[in-house]
Amino acid sequence: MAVVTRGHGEPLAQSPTGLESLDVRKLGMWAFLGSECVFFGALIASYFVYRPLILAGDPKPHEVLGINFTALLAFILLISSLTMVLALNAIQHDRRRAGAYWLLATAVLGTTFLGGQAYEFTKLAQEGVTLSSGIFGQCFLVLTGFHGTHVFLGVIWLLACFARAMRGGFNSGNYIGAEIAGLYWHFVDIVWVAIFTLIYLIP
Amino acid sequence: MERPHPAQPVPHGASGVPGTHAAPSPEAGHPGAGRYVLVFIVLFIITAAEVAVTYFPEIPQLPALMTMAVLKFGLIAAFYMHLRFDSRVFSAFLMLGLFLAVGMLLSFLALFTAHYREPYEPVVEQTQPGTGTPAVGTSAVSGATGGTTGGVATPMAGR
Repeated sequence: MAVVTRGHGEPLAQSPTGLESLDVRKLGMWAFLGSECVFFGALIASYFVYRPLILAGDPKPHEVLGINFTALLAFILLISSLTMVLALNAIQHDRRRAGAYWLLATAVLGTTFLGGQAYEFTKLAQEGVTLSSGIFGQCFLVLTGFHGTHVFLGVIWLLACFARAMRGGFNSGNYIGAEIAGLYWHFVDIVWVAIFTLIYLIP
Repeated sequence: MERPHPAQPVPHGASGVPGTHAAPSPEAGHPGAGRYVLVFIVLFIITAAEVAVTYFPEIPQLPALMTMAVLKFGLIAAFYMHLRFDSRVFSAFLMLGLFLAVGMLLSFLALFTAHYREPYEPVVEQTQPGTGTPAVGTSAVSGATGGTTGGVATPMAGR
């Protein structure tokens, strides 16, 4: 029999299935991330539907910037995933200051990624690739732009978590807020894994 | 690491229940920092291999790149997002979303590009003799494309 809670760890009753023991906030985040899969799946699908046209003319991001630059962006997000999980690990072990600084490092890396994406968009605009320049501009910029928006929101969320951690808001008994922020951040990284492979690397 | 049975009481942190009312043991079920660093090293190597593969066109690009991307996806979800140690319900939500996304991608590809034939040639503008006004024409390759939508050719047009 599993303990039934209402998301605050307070036991209410016994459940034969065990489903009620799941934290509702974490469950809600996973439901949101599942819907986000469909959201980004739709954007990637539109890119591949129009890919024959895209291959016909417009300059490609890896042609303008080179694969090495986008690989650098991928590495930055990978490192930020490590710092995020180390932040949660530190918080869970009551190393609150270390956890706060790992959160800050994650936010800084996210901001660096956004800077790289802004540079990429600027270079593409100089090559004539904009939202109104054609089908490639629309598909590519909407897809990567929405990902960048997610990164931006994640950075804001991480900074809020950092401020809370500095005030001692997280500890080994109360870390679910940081864990949920981490789930969101790792999902943003996972989406970039897909975009990096499908859009930038596949010829 | 063995997954806790859903019908059994689980330690705090292992099932996603935050320990706010009892002695916490948040590390139960979650790997330590060393494991996280090890996973990062593996992810780093796979990413470097992905980039390296693009420099060797003799390697089948699509299967190699897709395999490595799925590996990275799985490692991040299993270890960094703790799906390997958490309830299967969380995994089910992600898998459902992935199933719908991949299904949608394959469906749209089948729907819109099944009759597409290489090589694609973009629409060329032809000038009508005498008038000087441009008239949008279709591709010179029969069957490659067949129409336009607002001046932009679409792969599904003219089917």
